[in-house]
Amino acid sequence: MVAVGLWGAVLGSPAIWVLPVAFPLVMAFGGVLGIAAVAIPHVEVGIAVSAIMLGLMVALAVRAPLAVAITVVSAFAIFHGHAHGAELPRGADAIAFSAGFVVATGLLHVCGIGLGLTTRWSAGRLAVRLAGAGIAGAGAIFLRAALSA
Amino acid sequence: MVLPAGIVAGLAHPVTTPAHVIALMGLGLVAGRNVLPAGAAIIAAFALGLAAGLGAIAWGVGETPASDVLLAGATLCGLIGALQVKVPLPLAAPLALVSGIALGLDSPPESILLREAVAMLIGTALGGAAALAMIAFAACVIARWRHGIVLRVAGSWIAAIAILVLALRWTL
Repeated sequence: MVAVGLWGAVLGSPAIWVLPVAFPLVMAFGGVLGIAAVAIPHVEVGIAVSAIMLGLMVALAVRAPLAVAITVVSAFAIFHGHAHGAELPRGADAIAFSAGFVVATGLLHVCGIGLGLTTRWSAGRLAVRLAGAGIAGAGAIFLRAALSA
Repeated sequence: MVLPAGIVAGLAHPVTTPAHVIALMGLGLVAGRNVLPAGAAIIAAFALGLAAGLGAIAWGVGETPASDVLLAGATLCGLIGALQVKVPLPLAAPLALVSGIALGLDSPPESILLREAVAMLIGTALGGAAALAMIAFAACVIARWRHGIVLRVAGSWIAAIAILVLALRWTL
């Protein structure tokens, strides 16, 4: 989620706000699939790959076209939404769960955008790229765990 | 002057019921995007619908799927906000009317005392209309800032929450 905000900031306007608008909507669609128990294969692998890919996009400051960025982010949003929807505890309050899920995701995007806005300074650019590398590294660890599970 | 407890409870009802808050915020985004005459007409349509819905409750209408209709309306309003579409009044007013009716039908008074129940219904009507007017005013102000990005993000959050709540209600 932080990587989505970071990448949006790296890409600049309009991606900086289009990605955080698109992500929750597509994630909700993925959440519906998870709640309805529609199986998506290798969800955990998809989440780990999304962290690696998005981290690399930030680390390498890839300036993809907006349509490509939306497609990549939306594809990963489905995995994230599905995982949360499928793991919903029985008896959970519908509104509290949904609002918490969406708002927490949005706030992580805001954190990423806030960090990403430091790219106007050279030290900020370096920090953002390092953060992207860190996210990609964490994703690689998750991927290894997901594949060995 | 001290307001009767029923009125106070009714005033607070639309802003303390999460599904109603989501619906009011979604409709507020739509109303706030319109210039004043159209925005005021949307609020008036909502108030009219709300009065009709509360009137139906007073008339003894039983359980309805009003809450789901309200969330479906919130989904639509959220999507409209996220896409930054300016909805013409002939489409926005019926949406506001239906949302008002649904909110009214989903607000049965929590009292069996007739006097207090009527006071709660009146309070709900006033509270719902006032809350929508305030949200629409806030949205109108925020819309001028940074090309309305905050409203687009808020719209996407509202739509996503409403979609998930509907999915949870229908499947669990």
